[in-house]
Amino acid sequence: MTSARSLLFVLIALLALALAGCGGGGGSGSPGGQTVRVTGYVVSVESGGAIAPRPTVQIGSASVQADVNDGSFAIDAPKGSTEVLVTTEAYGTFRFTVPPLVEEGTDLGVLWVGPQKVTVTGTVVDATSNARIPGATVLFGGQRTTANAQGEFTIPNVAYAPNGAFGSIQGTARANGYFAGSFTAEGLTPSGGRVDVGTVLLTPVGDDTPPPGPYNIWGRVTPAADAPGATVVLSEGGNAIRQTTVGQDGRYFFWVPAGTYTLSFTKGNLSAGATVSLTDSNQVVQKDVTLSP
Amino acid sequence: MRATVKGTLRALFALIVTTGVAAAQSNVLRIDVEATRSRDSVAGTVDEAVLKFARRTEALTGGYRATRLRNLGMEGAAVLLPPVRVEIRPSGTRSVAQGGDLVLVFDNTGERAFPESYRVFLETVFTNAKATMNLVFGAPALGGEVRVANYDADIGDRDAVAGGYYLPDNGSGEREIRFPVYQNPETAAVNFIHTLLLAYQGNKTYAFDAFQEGLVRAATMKIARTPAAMPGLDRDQIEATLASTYEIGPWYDWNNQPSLAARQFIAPNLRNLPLPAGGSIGGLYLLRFMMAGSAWEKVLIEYPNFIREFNERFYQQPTLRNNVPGLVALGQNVLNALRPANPQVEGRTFADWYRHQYVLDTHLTRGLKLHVSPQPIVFGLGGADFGVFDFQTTFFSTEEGGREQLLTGTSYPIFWNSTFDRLFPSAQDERIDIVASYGSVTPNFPDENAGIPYRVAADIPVLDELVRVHVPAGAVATATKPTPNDLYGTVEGIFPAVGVSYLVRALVGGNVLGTAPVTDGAFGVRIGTALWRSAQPVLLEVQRTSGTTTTTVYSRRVNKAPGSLAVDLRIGGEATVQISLLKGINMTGFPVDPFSQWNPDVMNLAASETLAARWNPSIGKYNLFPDLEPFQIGHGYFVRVPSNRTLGVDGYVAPPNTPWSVSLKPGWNLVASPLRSSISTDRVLVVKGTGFPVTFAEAEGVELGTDFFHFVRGGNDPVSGAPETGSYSPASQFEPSRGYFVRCLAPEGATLTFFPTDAPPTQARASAAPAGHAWRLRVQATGGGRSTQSVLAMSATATGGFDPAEDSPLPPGIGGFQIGSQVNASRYFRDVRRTSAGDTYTVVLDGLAVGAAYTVTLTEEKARARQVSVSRDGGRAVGFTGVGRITFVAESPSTTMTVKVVR
Repeated sequence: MTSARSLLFVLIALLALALAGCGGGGGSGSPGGQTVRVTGYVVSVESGGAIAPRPTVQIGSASVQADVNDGSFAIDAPKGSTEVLVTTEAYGTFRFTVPPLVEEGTDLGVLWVGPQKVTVTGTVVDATSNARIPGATVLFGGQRTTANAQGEFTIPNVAYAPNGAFGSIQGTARANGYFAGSFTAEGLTPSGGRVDVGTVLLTPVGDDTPPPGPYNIWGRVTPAADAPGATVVLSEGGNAIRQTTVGQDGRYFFWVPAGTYTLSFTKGNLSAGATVSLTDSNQVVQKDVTLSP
Repeated sequence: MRATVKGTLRALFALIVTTGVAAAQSNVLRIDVEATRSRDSVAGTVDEAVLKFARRTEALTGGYRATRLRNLGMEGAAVLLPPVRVEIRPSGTRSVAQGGDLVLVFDNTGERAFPESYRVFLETVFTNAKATMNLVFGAPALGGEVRVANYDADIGDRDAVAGGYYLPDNGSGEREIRFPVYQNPETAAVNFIHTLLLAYQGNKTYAFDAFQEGLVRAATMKIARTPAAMPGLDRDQIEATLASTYEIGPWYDWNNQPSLAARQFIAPNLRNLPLPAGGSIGGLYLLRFMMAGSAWEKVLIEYPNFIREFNERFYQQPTLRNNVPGLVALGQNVLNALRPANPQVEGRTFADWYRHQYVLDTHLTRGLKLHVSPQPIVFGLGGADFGVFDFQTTFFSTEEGGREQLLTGTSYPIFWNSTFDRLFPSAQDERIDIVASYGSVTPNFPDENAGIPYRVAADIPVLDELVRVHVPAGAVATATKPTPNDLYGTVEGIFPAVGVSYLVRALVGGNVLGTAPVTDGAFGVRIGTALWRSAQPVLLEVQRTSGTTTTTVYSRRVNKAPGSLAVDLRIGGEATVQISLLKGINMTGFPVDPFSQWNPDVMNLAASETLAARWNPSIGKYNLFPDLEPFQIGHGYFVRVPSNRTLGVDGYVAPPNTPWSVSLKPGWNLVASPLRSSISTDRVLVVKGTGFPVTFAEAEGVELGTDFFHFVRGGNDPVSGAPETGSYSPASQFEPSRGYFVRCLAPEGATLTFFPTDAPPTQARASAAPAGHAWRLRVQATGGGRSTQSVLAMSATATGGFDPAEDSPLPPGIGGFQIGSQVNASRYFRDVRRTSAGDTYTVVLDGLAVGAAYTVTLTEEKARARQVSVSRDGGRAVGFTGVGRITFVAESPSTTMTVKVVR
């Protein structure tokens, strides 16, 4: 309870700080733009809260100590830096790789540190097609990586503590053309130093049109040249109950209750037949056929 | 077989041990006989039983007996004696009077033995409470031995929280109570009574926890509150136990939500899982237990003998165990018998009362579930604390077999004051992080008007689920008035006006015990009398005073639990909503939260005939019944019905002049207006995350897609004789009981709040017309009884490609009538191009019925071009300005028109 509430407080405080920062306008960078103001939080994965003694945050030659109450820090970092070192008395040093720091007011979010380090793995997948998404940016516990061509990601050096706040860390995955997705490692424990969060589903943004209506029997009709316009009759117990026409894409659809059905396809002198059984109306069955004389 | 033999031996040993232990008192062999047998056959049965017993005891060697007794910790202390007295008990379909007492059997050693003092304590609890238990719950359906086993080491967390459990058959043919060791004696006593009552039912148990656990918990509360049944125990500690795990207390109204419905309160997949770390109680089970106990407690308050009578009748017809309509009819029969003159509960027939209690809905439904449990914080208030409430959120999904997944997510709660201006209590209350199903916030709603209470509508959205609860800020306890009121709540559906006032009266037995003025939809009063604080039926009335005329505009009977009472009085908040469906496919919407959580019941169809679906953008698939969620307010669905029908859907509706909200996931959402009247988009506000509400028009192209769509049924299927397909057409307003596809572009989702025309107009801003169009032409095609339309336009901000903020793609039809502008391989409903001196649009009509006549009307909505011409399928071009029209008879299912514009 305490951990979750502390985390919540930190996240909200972070949000508040970010909002405040929106109106602040910057100006804290050094003359000539050699540094940029960077903010963030250092949080213990053991307690879900700030750390005492105060951790040191170092970016390039600049360093600062995080706040003892909420773990917040603000630092003027050398422009273009890509690494943040957080050193605590209890946990040693954690290294975080970040995108080049070029924008004033960059928010690094929460940098988690703890007594152990684990590797977090998973796979980023398209929620609609189940296709793996290569190149997704994945963040977890302040660490980040890029998914490989198979959509798989591996994030090393993630802070971990048994019975700590690890399960409440929210990871995010982002990829072009998708809504950002979140995930946690709730209920997972390391095995061999690895925590596999499984599949991270992302919903495509580019789905510009509402989906067509529901169906539970569908299929493709070939040959492609002959299929469009073919008549499909669905029968149950020898009685025709539905009829449709194969579309330009060679597909047909029916939405019917559970049962056993026969499908009859005709176009000119071409025909085909098939049988379909639905054990429940939430079952979706694909039945492809080939028309033949 | 091994288990059977072992079980027999264990049972025999139990008998031996029991008789041995009891030898000092009486050495009894109990024999069951059929109730209708003759004296001779009884004698024969007794003889046979005694002989069998004697043979079995002889078969046990002295060594085995010694070992067994040593294991039981009874070495040298117990002597096996033959029975010296025989008790004959009728068996078979015995009635309650024939049930006999429970005989508790404890292991004295071994892993299932309790510490001696604990065992003695439990035995004493039973001895002391037995008479009251029999009075409240009825005598046991089945007497005899019940093993009481120590499962402290391995009982599931949830079962321990629930107070132990009972097995009619532990796998060895024994009845068994599995019970942990509670440190607090009052907790142990209350929970042990709970398990004893479960054991009272023998093998005549109810199939649903709503009955099984609900009735037992209500009875447990009544027994535990009977001082004679619990001598020597601390009354406050007993109340604390009841408050924490048995009853919801004052807040039944606020927690009476659809997500409670379940066949079993602890999901089978969670039963043996430990509670998650981090404050989560691991699902909704505990709230279900408490709500079920409180629901039946309401009946007990009005009918103290209800449970006993109900059980006794049920024991006569145990096949009703999984027959809910039968059980509900049984409930009414009991009321008829107990109070023939007015056999109602809280002013309703039993069936009507039953369907209002979501926790008693036993259907196993699937889908995402969200529950929000508000509680006022009344202790430790200080500073500016005015309306401090804790909102505990439980978010999960139910799957096949009742499995529940504890979900993780984020909610951006939206708090509205009584005039539906968004409140921003503090930054830390703007977001709820839900981990392992659980998250909470505790906002303090500020004092807005010199200490006058006001109603807060809390919309808690997670993905596309949303729960609305109303709480009274400043009406419970504040920093300046720290003594909590004991009657408080909210009122919706009243119309404040100058010279008009409202108050709430609480009456008990016809006497007014307290009144409270309603201010900005909230009220609170401290009545404080012992009479009020006791459990009893209460009549609540809302009175309206205008000048010297006072009228009662609402009344409701509430059977209140001991202590305070919180209510949400929704005037006009219940209705039977007529939803018309035509044979074939329909895209419908629900402006009502049905009482029934079972979709086939709502559709008046058998489950095997039910076709209902809702698009789930998270997975890019439809959730098809039975995977579909229970129908809910503000959601749209595809349904297919075999004949025309009008559904009369009973349920909760948005009260008059009360805005209502619908939550959106990223992607396409199938939604409906939650209101029962037409709502134009300028009466819809959009909230994203922690932001300020914006108008629908402002949100278009930013949080929302540029257009939203309704469904147009296609032509009749030649075989079924009804439309089985259709297409989408852009919509301009939300009609009641219709479904709409609305696209959400915000990754964190968004919430639509619909303002009825009689709601406060403060934030209902006018919708801006589509901005920046230099020229716009609407193309409408009608024919065959159907209509569809498209928009062609020019704008300085558009590009040649697809612009999400300006263009609008044509939804893919499934065989229906559609019109759209062809751009490369895509078709747009709204095709906006860069402003120019001229352009050519290719408009395609699909889904035409060959031989039918069609009319295409082209209307210049904004600006006039110098010349517009239209030609069809390469035919002659017809020029027009302002409005043009062409008619034709379809020769094929598709036709193409070319629209040329010269500006």
